Amino acid sequence: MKKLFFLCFIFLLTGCNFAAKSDDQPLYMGSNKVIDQTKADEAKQIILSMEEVIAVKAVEFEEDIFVAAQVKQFDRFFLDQIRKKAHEKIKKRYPETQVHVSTDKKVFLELEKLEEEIYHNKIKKAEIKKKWKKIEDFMKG
Amino acid sequence: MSDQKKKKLTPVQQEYHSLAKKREIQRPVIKNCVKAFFVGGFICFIGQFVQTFYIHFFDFNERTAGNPTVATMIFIAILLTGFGVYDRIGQFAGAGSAVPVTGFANSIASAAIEHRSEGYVLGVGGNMFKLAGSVIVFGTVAAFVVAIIKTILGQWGGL
Repeated sequence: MKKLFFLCFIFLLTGCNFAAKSDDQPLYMGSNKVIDQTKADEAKQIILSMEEVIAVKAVEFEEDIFVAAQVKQFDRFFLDQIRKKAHEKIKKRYPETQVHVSTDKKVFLELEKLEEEIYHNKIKKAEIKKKWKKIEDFMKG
Repeated sequence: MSDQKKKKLTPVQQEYHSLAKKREIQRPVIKNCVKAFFVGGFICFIGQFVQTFYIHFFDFNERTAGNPTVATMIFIAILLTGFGVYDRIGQFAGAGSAVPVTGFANSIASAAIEHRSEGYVLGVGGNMFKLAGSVIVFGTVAAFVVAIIKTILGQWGGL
């Protein structure tokens, strides 16, 4: 019985660390797509260099960059500050663009789909525009 | 038993009381706590599952997914109450099944079912909030007081 408790304790301690360590490599889309995605790619690098962020998705369209970050479980207590920090970092790099940072799961999923479609050249500009409005609504919360 | 009452007992009765107390089965407090913790946690796990489901397959984001999730959980809890399953969960888990929103739904639905024989207006309508009414009243009053304190602090202290 005691052994079992000890094992459970060990799992509890280590369990949290496994998930946090696996930093996902973001999808770099490059410039030869429907819309030039170099700014979004660089934004991903900037955000991923933050300690609290595990994974990041970003897409740019016209003057906007949408960034969705997945934050480590414990750091979710400070979501507001992290969003602000991320926004400032990208704004510093690209002062002339409209930067939107979100930590919402839905925005993350939608941007992931959009990234995938842009990467494989499966989507047209008009369709992106339609989706863009939708994602913007999700960001407002 | 209080000390006041103890004084009136004869010595033999006192002796019996102490003997009975020794033989009495101890309340398994820690075991109950563990049960409540796990069952309550499991209910919340189901709620989280429903929320993730709504985020993935419908047009809700994290913030707006809360409303349909709560509605779904209440619906499930009321169904379980009507079929008599929630009573057993409540008996097994105690406070673990009463604290989440499902417990609140259960307290309303079970009161409504219980008083159905007294008629719809005075029975169901009058007794529905017998248990849940106190929660609503004190919740509203507490929210009111806290909001006043926050407003005053914000206006004067610039918090």
